[in-house]
Amino acid sequence: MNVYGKVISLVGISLAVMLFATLFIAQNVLTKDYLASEQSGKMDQLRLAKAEIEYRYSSLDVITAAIAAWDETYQYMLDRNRRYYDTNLVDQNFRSLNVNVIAYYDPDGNLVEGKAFDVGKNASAVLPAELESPGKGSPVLEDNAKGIEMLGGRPYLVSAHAIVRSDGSGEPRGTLVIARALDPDAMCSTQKIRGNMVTGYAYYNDSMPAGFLEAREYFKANPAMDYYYPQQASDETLTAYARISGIDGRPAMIIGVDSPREAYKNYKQSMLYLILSYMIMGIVEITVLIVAMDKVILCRLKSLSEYAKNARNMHSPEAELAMGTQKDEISELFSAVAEMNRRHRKDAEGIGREKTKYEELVEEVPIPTIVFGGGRAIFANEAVGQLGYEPAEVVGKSADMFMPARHRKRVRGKGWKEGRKWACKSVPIRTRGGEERLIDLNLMNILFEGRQATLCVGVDITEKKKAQEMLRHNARKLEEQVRQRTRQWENENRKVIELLKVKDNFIREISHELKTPLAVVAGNVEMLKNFKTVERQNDYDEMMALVRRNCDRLRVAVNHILDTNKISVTKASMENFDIAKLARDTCAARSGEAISRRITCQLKGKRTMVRADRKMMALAIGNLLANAFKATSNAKVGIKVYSKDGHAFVEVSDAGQGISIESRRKLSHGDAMGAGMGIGFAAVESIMLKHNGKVFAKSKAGKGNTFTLMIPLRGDMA
Amino acid sequence: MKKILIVEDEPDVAKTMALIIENAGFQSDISLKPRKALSIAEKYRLILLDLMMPDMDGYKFLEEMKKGGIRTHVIVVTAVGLPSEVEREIKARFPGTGFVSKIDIGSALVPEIKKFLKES
Repeated sequence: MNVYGKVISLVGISLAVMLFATLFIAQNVLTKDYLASEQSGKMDQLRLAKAEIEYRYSSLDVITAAIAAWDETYQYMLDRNRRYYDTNLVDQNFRSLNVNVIAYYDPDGNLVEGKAFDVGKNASAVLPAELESPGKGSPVLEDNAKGIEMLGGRPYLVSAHAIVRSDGSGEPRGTLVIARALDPDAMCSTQKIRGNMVTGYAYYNDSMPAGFLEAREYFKANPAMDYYYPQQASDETLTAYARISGIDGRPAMIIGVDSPREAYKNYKQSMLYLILSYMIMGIVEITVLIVAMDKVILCRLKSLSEYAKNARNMHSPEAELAMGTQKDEISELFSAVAEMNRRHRKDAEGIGREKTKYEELVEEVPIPTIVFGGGRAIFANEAVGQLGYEPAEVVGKSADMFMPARHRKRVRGKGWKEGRKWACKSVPIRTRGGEERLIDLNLMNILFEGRQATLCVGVDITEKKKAQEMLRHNARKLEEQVRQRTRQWENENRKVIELLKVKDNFIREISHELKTPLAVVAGNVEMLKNFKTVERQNDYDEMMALVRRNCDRLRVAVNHILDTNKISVTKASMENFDIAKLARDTCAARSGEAISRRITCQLKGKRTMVRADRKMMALAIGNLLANAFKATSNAKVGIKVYSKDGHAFVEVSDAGQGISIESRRKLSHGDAMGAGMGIGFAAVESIMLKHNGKVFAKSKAGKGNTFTLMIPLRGDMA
Repeated sequence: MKKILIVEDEPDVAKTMALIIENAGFQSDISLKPRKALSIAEKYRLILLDLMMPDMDGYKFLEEMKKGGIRTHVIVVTAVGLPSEVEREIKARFPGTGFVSKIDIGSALVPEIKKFLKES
């Protein structure tokens, strides 16, 4: 039988077993429980019907007790007056009370007066013979007697009460008996009240239906039982019976309760549907299995074979890398081996074939594969050559040389379980040539030639690991480069922002520096239009001096603009020079101005060599001196040069009023214009930025300012 | 007749304004130090105030005047920024304050002074 046949047979057998199990459970457990539940419900209905009949006893008993206690009845038993008879023993009274017999007996049990009436026919009837002369001591005449009594072959509800005064005094003057026939109409009314079809028959009526006769036989055989629940022959209706005793305790009648078995029919239908659905499910399952076997499993086995053929010649590191990632293929090899195992497990002849099949299957896989049995290699494929071994050389070798200690015990058979798989990652294995390779081992317990063995497939991941390591290394390198570039970009961005700030300040400063002298020139020229020089020669001279001075100032401002612009576009020409000497020379160049403003210029500092643009530094020091001269008159301006922590410092201090706190704050935020420092200071800032240096100010109100240039000694350039 | 106080750190500009004012028939005093000017501001009928001064800028001067309850009229005379923008800012922050661009002092200062003195 081929694999199709085997699988379909197995599935068919399992479905048949499941179907029979379901039927057995349905028949013996579910149906049994259902019938017990149905019987219990039926008995409850029967008890309700019996209770209803007993209720009728009570209602009749109430009527009897009431009439027996009338004073008129008590008087009638003494004088037999006609008026009482005419009032109470009339047809109308029988109809309204729904009774069939009213009879009066003296204390000796003799009938005093009695009348019977057929309510159904609305006509007088014959008093039953049993009530004609029951005699003293009859159970029917006992005080408070109530129950069913067979009278004239027909069941009656009977109630008896002693006739006494309404207040209970005096000797009883006899017994009143009232009876109601239990006819089919009466039983129908029971059905209406309780919702069940209740039928009653006199106990000794031999013409009862078969079911009632059977019930009577049952009650005769089992006197202690009051209910009978027969085996139900019909699926349509269900009947249960109850025995009702008479006043004297003897069986008086049998009642039966009928009801349709709708729920039972539904239950049987549901079972049928269940079985049908099982059958349909089975057919669908078998169909799906056939399709799945054809489309998936067999196709996969075919693709594994194809893959093995295609991969035979792939032996480059890239191919090995690809092999390392082909976990699915290994799992398919394992599936194929497991399938083979299952097929030949109990087939003695198959064991021989199995070996051949294994060899065929494993040989086709271009991955080193070894089968271990009892801790030693019992089979190896050609691909072990990748590790420098011959297959024949490997066979018989211990597993110790192929895998770490923690996995060897399993290969030796400990905890062996057919089909169990596990993996062992990055196992270092030495090739025959002594080279260490990293192998991912995939292992599976199999039956090989009928003995417990372990199939071990080793995927060489050395190249993959190297590639991964290289990738990681490159990623780290790249990340570091990105970080460095980001830092560079941030630094450059910061400098650009600073330069933009300097540029903004510069433009605002230009505006002010140009407008101020221009205002003076324009204002004076406006006045000079209509000026009479002869009358106001002094004012004229003053105005002309103002115009000249401010024209000079305009020229200086324009030069500053040009200087600053030159700084921004010119690359610093770095050279080594003594900045103390440069400061001294710059100060000397301004000696004329110093003398005119009565300023003493003092310089302190020894030779300090820096690497910077000499001309730019001269301009920076000159501009600071110009500001100091502007703030000072008749006082001292000091210049101090020194070096510290790799920087040269040039301090220019004046004895002016100092700048305000607000101006100092603005200055520290690069707002030289807002601080009122003038266009020259903007040029100083620009020069310092170019040299990676700084300019900062110290000022104390009324005690002058100190501006310091900080220049890197070794000549850093921005 | 109360004088006009010129608060301006640039001596040449201050002198020019003084000449222009006196030429128009008004008397003036010059203060190159805003702090000192603030202490005497109340004595004057009008103040011509520069904005950009190292000791105390014009905005601070106006705030201090406001704080001190000094009600002397002020005309801001400045070379800072765009005249229209500065004027808008000054008038928004200190309503009732006049404005003349420093570059226009020859033509615009005297009419502005006359306008203020007439209003007051």
